Amino acid sequence: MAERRAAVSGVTTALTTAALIVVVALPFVFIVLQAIFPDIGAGSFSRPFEHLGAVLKSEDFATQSANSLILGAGVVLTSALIATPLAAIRALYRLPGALIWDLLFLVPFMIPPYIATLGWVLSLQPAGYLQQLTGINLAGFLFSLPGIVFVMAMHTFPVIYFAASRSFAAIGARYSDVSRVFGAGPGRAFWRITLPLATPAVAASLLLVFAMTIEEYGTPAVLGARFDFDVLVTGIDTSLSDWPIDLPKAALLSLALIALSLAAFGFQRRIATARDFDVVGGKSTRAPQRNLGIWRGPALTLFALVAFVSTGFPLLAILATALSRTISGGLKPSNMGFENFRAIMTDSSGALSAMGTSFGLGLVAAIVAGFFGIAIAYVTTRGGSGRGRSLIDALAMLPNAAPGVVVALGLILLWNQPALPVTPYNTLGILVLAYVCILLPQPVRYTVAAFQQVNPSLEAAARVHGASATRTAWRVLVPLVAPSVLAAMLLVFTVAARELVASLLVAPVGTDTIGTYVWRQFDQGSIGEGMAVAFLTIIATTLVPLGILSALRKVERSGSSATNL
Amino acid sequence: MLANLKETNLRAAHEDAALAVRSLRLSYGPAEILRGIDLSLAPGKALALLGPSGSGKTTLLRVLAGLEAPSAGEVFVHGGCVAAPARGLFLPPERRKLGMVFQDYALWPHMSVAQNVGFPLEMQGIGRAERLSRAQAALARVGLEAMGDRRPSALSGGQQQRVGIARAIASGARTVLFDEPLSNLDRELRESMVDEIAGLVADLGLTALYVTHDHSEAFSLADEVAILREGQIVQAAPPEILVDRPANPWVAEFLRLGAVLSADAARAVLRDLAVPQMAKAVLLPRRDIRICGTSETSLRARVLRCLFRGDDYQLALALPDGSEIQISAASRIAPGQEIGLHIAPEALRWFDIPKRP
Repeated sequence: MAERRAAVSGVTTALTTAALIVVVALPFVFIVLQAIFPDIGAGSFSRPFEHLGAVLKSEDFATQSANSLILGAGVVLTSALIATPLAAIRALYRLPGALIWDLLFLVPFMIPPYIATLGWVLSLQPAGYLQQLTGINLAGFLFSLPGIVFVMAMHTFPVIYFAASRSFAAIGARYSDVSRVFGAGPGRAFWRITLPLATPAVAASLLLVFAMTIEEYGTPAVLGARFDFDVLVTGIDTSLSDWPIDLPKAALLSLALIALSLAAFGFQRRIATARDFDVVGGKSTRAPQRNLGIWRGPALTLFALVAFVSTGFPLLAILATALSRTISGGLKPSNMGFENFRAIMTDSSGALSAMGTSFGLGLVAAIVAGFFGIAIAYVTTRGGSGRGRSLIDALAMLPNAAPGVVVALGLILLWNQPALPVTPYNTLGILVLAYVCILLPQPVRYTVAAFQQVNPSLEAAARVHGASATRTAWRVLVPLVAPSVLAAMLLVFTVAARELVASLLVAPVGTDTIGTYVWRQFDQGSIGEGMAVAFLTIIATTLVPLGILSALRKVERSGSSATNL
Repeated sequence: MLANLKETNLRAAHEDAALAVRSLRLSYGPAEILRGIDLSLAPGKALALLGPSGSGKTTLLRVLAGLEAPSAGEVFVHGGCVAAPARGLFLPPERRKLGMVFQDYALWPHMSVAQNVGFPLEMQGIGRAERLSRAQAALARVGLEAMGDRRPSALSGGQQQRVGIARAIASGARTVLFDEPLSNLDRELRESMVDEIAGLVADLGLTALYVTHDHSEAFSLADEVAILREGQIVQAAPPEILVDRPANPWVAEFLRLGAVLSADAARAVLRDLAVPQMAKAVLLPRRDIRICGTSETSLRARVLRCLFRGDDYQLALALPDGSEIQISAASRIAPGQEIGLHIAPEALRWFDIPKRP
């Protein structure tokens, strides 16, 4: 019995490892090969390291690396300055409408950053909506380093907000109040207890923001192009798509970017796991929050301002453009109508097919990634051997450090090898590969966490009471992890359906996804139709998953209350 | 006039007390957690709040500490009023000069053991050297003088709770609140810690307020036990009085003092007994019940279970009316057997309050 089980998990481990190698490892191997052997694209290992010196010494490499670092640091600092006070107020005081503010601060996650950035361009560019409404022209600010930092921080600050407020609240209830009994005033309780205990969680979120920032393509591409500000991501894109195409340079820039992200993620993981105290666990006490008193008004104003600027403003600009008959017509009632939405429905510019393609690809990617997640979680949490496990774990987390542009480069290098008998290149399959590779860490993380929460004694109990290994997995494990797996698949669907940079680089000729469609319309087509598609996409990819998740939660709740009876 | 006099006397009593509450109420929205509590604890005395879960005992403790604000009533600490919602008065916890011991220890994980214990002194602005020596002295009192440099997480549960106790006494607080201090520990440790805590409280002459759901813990630690039920005190008395004269059938059952029968059932079971007028229920205290031959008594019981407990046997018995009672016996009696029970009529405790179904 034990032998058979070991054999099954051995096969599962081998299959999972093989699939991970093809989907994740090989593209990265080819980036490394390309960086070393400039002619690998022709299947040749000649002239190794010939390019290396030239690229490393080139001005681009130094500037773009420095710019990535500066941008990352700037966004981390700005996000922290915005998020920490908000988080402290939210966690420690009785804030009216607390849950609604939380929900509003989730919205920046729902809007793909490149779409929000297009909204900012429409608002702040010369003769944009802000100038039309107030006469103020902030184009100089928007197309500058502080402008990019600001726009990106508006997207990333919720990461810190949620990490810090959760941490502050847990500490407040369990540790900070105790210090009050022993004589600490509210200020000292915050400085001596809450802040030191929250530091690991907050620092981890800062590093996450750093990694998100240096991996982001859309915002630096749109804004930076106007004042010749290149970061590593846009540098890779330029080397890949602008003549003369320089694959070795793209590969080297990619390796630099991966190294930076890996450093950030490695550091983040160390902080998150190495802290020797678990502040969130333990008996949950209702945090007795304090009244804001006269600060109620100012606090609410601050929350409203941040919520409006981070989400309301870009969203309204997108909606306004989608509803404008002509861009030059401006914000006038006479210029408003549903022409753009009607035009989308006729599919004359390919909007409908782009949406169809993206939703279809998103669905396939979600299913593939979901199964991947389950297999990996099963092997890493329930399998036996140690070495295979850590290899799988490392492979599954590698894409964390790889932005879409790098994954796209790897796929191009791998699947264009002349020796390959068949290749998904120039088919929709390459997009599925790209999405699965980019997003794999999400379902893996969710599913592994779900598997870990299932106490092994639950499965042991099923086995003792007569269920086979397979039946145990089916009747006990699957029902318990299903909600998490489904949530992870929804996330994959949502992000894949709106993915931009990998789609720009590897989509088959003549195929548009939502991302590439909106991008191209903004560049040279009908901005109105582009924004209409963007708006519909935000609605569809936000409300549908939210609806499914809340329905799921209702089912879960009624299920659990039924079992409580 | 009389009412005024009573008011004055009450106020004087509260000003002498180490801890006192008057007509205390607390609600969260529509849920009333504390429903009019009056309580007073003299300096140097120990009081235990005993009640089932959800009775509001921990909430009452948190109100005294200042971690919760009452909705109505008054709270006095060391003679001074610290909370009176009617007058908008609320003194924050750090100004109440109390010590507190928590069920989950609540040691700050980022500080060493000595820093944890020294924290209250640091808050009083006491210099580093004196702080260290006083923290060390407090640790020595609980037998942990060698552990000062360790992290709390490196200590066992019992050691962590000793650190919690050291922290509570280090500041020199005269009054210490104990929130289920022993319920996270295993039984053996619990019993030895009860001894330790009682000794420490007596040595230091502390005023102590314990919250617990464990009867024996409450009885061994406290001079007086207040029994809470659904946000109200149903009886407050020294432990011996509680056991001798429970105020109503619910208290008798909660303290597992014996079998509580309705007056009608008692008439049927104790055939040759005169049931007092007005009596609605009766307690058959188990400590007054003796086993005897079936021919010597009219009170019969059937043995349900017999458990050996090392010193004696614990019998679970079914009385003729169906109610169950547990008594101890010197020898094993097989389940199913019928035995006779003797109880002196004067040992019975009659209630004019009916037993709840």
